[in-house]
Amino acid sequence: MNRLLTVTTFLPLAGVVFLLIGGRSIRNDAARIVALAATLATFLVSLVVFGKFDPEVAGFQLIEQTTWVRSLGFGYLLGIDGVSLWLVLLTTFLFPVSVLASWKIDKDVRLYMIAMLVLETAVIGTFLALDLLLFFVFFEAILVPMYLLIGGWGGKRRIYAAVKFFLYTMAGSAFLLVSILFLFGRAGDTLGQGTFDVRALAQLATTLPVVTARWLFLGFFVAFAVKVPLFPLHTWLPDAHTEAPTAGSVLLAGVLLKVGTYGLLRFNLALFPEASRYFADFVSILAVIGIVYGAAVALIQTDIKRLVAYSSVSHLGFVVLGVFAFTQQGVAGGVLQMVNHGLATGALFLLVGMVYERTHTRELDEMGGLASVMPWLTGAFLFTAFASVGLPGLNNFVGEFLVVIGTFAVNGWYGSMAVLAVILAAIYLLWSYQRMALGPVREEHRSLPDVSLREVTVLVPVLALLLVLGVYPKLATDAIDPASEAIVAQVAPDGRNTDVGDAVLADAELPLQEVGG
Amino acid sequence: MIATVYAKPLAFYLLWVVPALPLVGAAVNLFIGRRLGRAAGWLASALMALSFALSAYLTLWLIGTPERLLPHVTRLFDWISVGSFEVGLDLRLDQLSATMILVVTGVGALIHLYAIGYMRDDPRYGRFFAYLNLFVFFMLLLVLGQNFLVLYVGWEGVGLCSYLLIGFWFDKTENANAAKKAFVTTRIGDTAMLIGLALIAVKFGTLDFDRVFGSAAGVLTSGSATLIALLLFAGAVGKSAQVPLHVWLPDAMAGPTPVSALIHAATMVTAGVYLVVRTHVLFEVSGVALTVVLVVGLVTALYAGTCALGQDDIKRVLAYSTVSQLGYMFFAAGMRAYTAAMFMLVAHAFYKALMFLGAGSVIHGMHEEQDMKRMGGLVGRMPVTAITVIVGALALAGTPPLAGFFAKDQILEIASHTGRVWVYVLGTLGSVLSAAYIGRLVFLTFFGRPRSEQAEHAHESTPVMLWPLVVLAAGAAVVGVLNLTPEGRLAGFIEPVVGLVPEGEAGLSAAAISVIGAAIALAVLTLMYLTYGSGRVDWLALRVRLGSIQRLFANGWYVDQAYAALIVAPGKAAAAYAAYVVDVKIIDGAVNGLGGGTRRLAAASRRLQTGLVRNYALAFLAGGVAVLVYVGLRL
Amino acid sequence: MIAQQPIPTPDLTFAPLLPELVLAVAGIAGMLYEAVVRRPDRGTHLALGFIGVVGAAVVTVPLWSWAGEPTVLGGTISADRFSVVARLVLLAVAALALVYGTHALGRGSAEANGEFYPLLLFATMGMTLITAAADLIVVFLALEILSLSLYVLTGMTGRRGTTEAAMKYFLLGAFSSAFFLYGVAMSYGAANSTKIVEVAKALAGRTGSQALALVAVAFLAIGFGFKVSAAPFHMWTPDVYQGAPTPVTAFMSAATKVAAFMAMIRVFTVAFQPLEWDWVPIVWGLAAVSVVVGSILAIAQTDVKRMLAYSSVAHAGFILTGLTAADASGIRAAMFYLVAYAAMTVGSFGVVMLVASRGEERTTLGSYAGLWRRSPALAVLMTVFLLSLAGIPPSAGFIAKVNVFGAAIAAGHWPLAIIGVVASVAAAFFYLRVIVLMFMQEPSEDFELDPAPVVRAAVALPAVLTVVLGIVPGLVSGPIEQAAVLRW
Repeated sequence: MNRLLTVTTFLPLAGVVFLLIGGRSIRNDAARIVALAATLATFLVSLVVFGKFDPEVAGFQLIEQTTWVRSLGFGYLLGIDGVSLWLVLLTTFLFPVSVLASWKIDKDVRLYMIAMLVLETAVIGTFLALDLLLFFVFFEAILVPMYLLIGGWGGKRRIYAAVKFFLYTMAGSAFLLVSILFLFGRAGDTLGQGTFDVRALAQLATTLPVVTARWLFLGFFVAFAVKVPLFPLHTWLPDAHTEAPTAGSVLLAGVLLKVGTYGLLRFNLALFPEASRYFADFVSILAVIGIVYGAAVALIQTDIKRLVAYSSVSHLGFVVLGVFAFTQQGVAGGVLQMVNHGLATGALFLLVGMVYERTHTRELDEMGGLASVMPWLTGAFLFTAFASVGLPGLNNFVGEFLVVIGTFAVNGWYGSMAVLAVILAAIYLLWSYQRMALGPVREEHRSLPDVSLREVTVLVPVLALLLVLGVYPKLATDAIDPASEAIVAQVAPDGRNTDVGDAVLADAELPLQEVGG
Repeated sequence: MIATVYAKPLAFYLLWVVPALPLVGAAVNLFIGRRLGRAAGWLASALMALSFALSAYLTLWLIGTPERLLPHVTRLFDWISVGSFEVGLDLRLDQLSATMILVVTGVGALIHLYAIGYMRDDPRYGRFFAYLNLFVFFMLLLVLGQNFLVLYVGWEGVGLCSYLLIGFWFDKTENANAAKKAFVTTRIGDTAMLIGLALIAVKFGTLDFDRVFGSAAGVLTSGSATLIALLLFAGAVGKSAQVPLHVWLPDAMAGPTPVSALIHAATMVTAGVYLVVRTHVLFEVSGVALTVVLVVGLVTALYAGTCALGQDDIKRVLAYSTVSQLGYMFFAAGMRAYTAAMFMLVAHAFYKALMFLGAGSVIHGMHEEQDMKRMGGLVGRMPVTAITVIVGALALAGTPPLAGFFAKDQILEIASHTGRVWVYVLGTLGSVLSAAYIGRLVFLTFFGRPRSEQAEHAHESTPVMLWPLVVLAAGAAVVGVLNLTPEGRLAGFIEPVVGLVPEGEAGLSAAAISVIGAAIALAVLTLMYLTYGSGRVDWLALRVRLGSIQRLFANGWYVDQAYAALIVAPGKAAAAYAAYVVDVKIIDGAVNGLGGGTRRLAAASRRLQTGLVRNYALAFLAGGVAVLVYVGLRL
Repeated sequence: MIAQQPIPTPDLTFAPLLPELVLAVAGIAGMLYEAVVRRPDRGTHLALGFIGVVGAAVVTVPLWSWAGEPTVLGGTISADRFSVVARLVLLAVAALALVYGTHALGRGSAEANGEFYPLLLFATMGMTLITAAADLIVVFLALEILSLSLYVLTGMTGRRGTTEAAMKYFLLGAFSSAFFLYGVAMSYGAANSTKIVEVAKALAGRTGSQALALVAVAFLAIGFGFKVSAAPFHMWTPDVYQGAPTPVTAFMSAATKVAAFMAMIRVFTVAFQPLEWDWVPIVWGLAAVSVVVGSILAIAQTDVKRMLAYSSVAHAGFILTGLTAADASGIRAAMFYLVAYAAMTVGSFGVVMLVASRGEERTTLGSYAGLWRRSPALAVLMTVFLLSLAGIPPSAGFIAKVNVFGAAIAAGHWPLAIIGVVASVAAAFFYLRVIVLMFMQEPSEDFELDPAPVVRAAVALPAVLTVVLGIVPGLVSGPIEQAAVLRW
């Protein structure tokens, strides 16, 4: 039986084992190299997965199924579709980058790298698990290593941030657990014996009483909304992002937030279609608020990391908005946007980290004029900023545009409101760039060095992808499209046109229909 | 037929090269520009020249190709495709885009050449040409795009380059501010435009020009057409600095002069006009939208004209002049006189680029002095510049037989046929204003006595800067010929794309209009000479007497201040409220309150644990009693 | 004539009782050794103790495949797999406790504390007995055996504080025993028998008095509630856990809960199974109060032993949550939870003991600051236990929680489950706080931690178990599935 996905998931742990066996004898450089090797190997394996993946197939592929605990009805079930494929690739791509970006860390390097590797396994697991309990295990397992990373290597208020992150997320997932177990019980009653198999439960979903399904939806929703994070459950994020070490922020923004949106997409929509439709407006409005609110708050931050953190709130709102439009373009755009945001914001945090290593401040007011001393570093920042602002030709634009049209097909106001945030994005990112890089340079910064070779190797792959996915998004959408079509088919109300491409046919009969009203 | 079989594939292979060349230049100069040194500029210019030659060739091919084979569309690759919604990277060659690429590459090449001299001593010389080339690439993409999204890519791309170039000398904070202001202000329009695109996508299921325009009449109600058209127009208003989004252009003069000439006069700012002309079908389905275009254009033309009268900074005069002239173009488009608008666009590209380069030459000669109050009498010290600028000025003022004359003339003629007198009257007033401010500029700069040290010792610029001036002057002089005949050569050329100018109602005869126009131009110029050039009038005293009006004009009717007070300040306040009150106090307050509350509860209930056995026993009993009571109820 | 009557020969099948006999013998041997020898050394004691425990285990295992009567010795002792599992867990805990005790007491005054070993064995004997007891009288006897030994163990070292703790424990313990005994009497009144099976039959056949039976349930619930330290009968727990010598705390926190709960399960799900609808709400209430009180109060503690004491109250609540599903699934869940809990709690107290080292100092949270710097091994072990207690996967604690909540929800008690999960979030806070101290802060005071390799191994063992059970719970849940069927 093909064990490719299992290998992808647990390969990082090989590095952990190595580091543990090595014990104290392992010197810091060795630990770094081991971690880098493990993450790179994982990336290569994930590329093999990418190769084996057949974009034509809409459903799950490379499925691995064995019983985990027969007596308890736990299953070990991994599978991948276009959505998870790209999230896994994003993860396996960002981890080596983050390891390389943490080269300068020299406090408890072994523990640090162990945390990183465990984190990678947990994250990949969440994206591949098709068994709800297994998913939950990975979902919760993310907490500890991330908690250690923030609390162990973070900034001044790191402990507050770490504990807040941990409790916030755990509070959310508490309800997720209850809902999962409830579904398990239902499965026991109806299917004879309980199961956590998402595919089976999706069938079961139709038999759930409407009200029950809605409550369960909320149970799942809270857990994921905290992770996303959706307004007003976002306040852990600024602290966590700001206090975390660079790699921590990169991974938080890059992959951890996606766990939330992925959960909504994979579980809420599939398991509770009726409830998803029922709450669609509620969720979309939260998303829109988040989009505008996040951007507005980012507008006046003076701490560059905090600013980027709030921008994430805004961007992730886009994703949720697209997902809950239940149109093919909206969902595909949302998924694409997960990847895009992971790359763009990840890159932003990398760059901010590099600037911090030089200036030792995150306060924009204490910078300025850096463009004249480190043109390449600031240039890279500007490039990434424009990607994140949604400049066409760079990656974010495609995702945002798909989300916008996907949403417009359903409700013009959500789309319009969301687009307004694009203006704010331009303001806060350009302004932060200006305060950081433009104007007269400060005396104490005159002699700062520009990017080092290591930093170039960290940045180039990411920035290159920003451009590639902007110019040729089909690279990703070819796989994402069928998957999102399948997801939409599950949840979309009957008889509604879910493909903007067919709009003409839809509108031609009723030319009087108004859009945006 | 032979010709097409022959040429079509050739065009197919060549069309994408037109934008590709400047892109290559940009890439090269961006990464190894520093090592190239001087060569960077020559490389960039050479590529531009090549691109221009290619555009010329393609245009000729176009003329030689039978109409039914047009427009010629090249698909580079499939860009976005989700579900059945797909957008290709398609380039379109038709009469309209051909005209635009000729202007862009032609004027662009000259300005590149000029910049070699102008930027000679700049440490980031290579970087400058990289940006300039990149701009041309995006501009070409904009005009060559076959669907709204490719157009939008170019649209945003030129915005990006404008941002980079306005803030090119970023160590001055005000330059950085100007750059940000330009990008953000235009972004407001762009965002509205993006919404328009989304509506089109939702309505038509495609963004392809031919498919959209083809089915527009059938798919759109006049209501939705108006909505879409106005959203697109909002984009145009932003890019072309029309009221109320015009505020960024005067500040954009912070950029190096070649930039002002290329981006903020000849090409980028005209993109809005191009957009309206390109999508005129949608505007016509709506009808209302056309009126809006007309009014906005007219208002802008007059408003900016007055502002131009109040400026002392030579470049700011030209900036407001540009705004005003663009208003004129929209004014034309609003009357469905697309050919006239396009013609003015072309003519304007020549003489306004010329004016800017001339101004740049003056500034150079005056050692970076831009204040006209400190100039004067330069005609003797920098003759070539003076003469070329004067040619440009006359063209702008609309004196026959120069380009501007024909352009304005045609537009006013159409205006007089709209059947609405006020349209014609206001249009004429606009031309009066333009003659006035440009005359003021010329006479203050080149005539009278030198009013400062620099003016005394001003020196003529280098040939590499002067040649472009000469060429452009020639252009400004002769471009008018393109429209010598009433139906017009250019008009006739573009017609297949934009259709004929509608037959209006009775109005003044062409001859009468021309005479009036010429007379006005000459009269106003003479008046300006007497005021500013002759030295007989103490114009500084006059200014003092005008007082508040003059200040009103000088400050652009205080629009900036109004925005600052009415939009920026409240916006910042709201954001601050969200960040420091809603987020920190309310939401996070609640979260931390929950945690704190639990802790306090714990601390409080901890006191129950007294350590005294009797209390424990009591609790024990209490529990016991509770259980028993429950059981009792069950009995 | 009467003489003709055949005298019924009492059934004398002792095999199912062998484990208790072995323990008793070993215990008595230990006492004699202590009394006779002038200078008893701990080595011999330890050896004796291990002989007892291991021997008991050896004779327990065969009972797994016991083919004879379900109950022997006149239906007072049941020979089922249920008790086998329980016994093995208890014996394992006892073995660890022996090691801990030897270590901790070793550093106390040399001659004292020999009695630790026999007392521990007797306590264990009482515990194993209670899990096999098929007669309420035997349950009570066993309860007293284990309690009395524990009272003495608690006050053993005679330090100020321990004696006080022992006193409190004794007084309240006596109090609860009274309730329990009364409950036994009531159920006899209700069913004319104290045999669990008879009681069940009587109640099922509606021959017995329901009213009396109900009162009996109430009293027994209170009695058990005290033993498993479920709120509001938990008040003794923090004082006793803190006061008692740490090895003893480790032993009783783990073993007492296991024993008492096993007995409770048998009594409630067998004897009073017919009254299920009446006692489930009681358990429900106890569970809810326990999880909330335990989790909330633990937050305010500054002493690790007290904190763990309150957490044990919360865990009692979780186990009761499982019991609210008064069926096989509930029993399974509770049993698995007990196994996991035993491992976690013994281990964590083991770490506490090693950190406290000489005597009983350094049980405050402060002493854990920067433990990672001073002894990475202990820090990691403690982290494993704490995360498992908090129910973070992959750990036995997580699987256990999933089981009990799953069972409760399946039985329709989802509100209780919600109370449970929310409480466990609050609980996570104080477990986290220790981890923060250990990893993210610098050592406040500096002192040596003796390596004590053997003891560390004895602490690492449950840690390994905790992780392994988190990844392959089948190891235990499989046997439990077969053990959780109480035949009657």
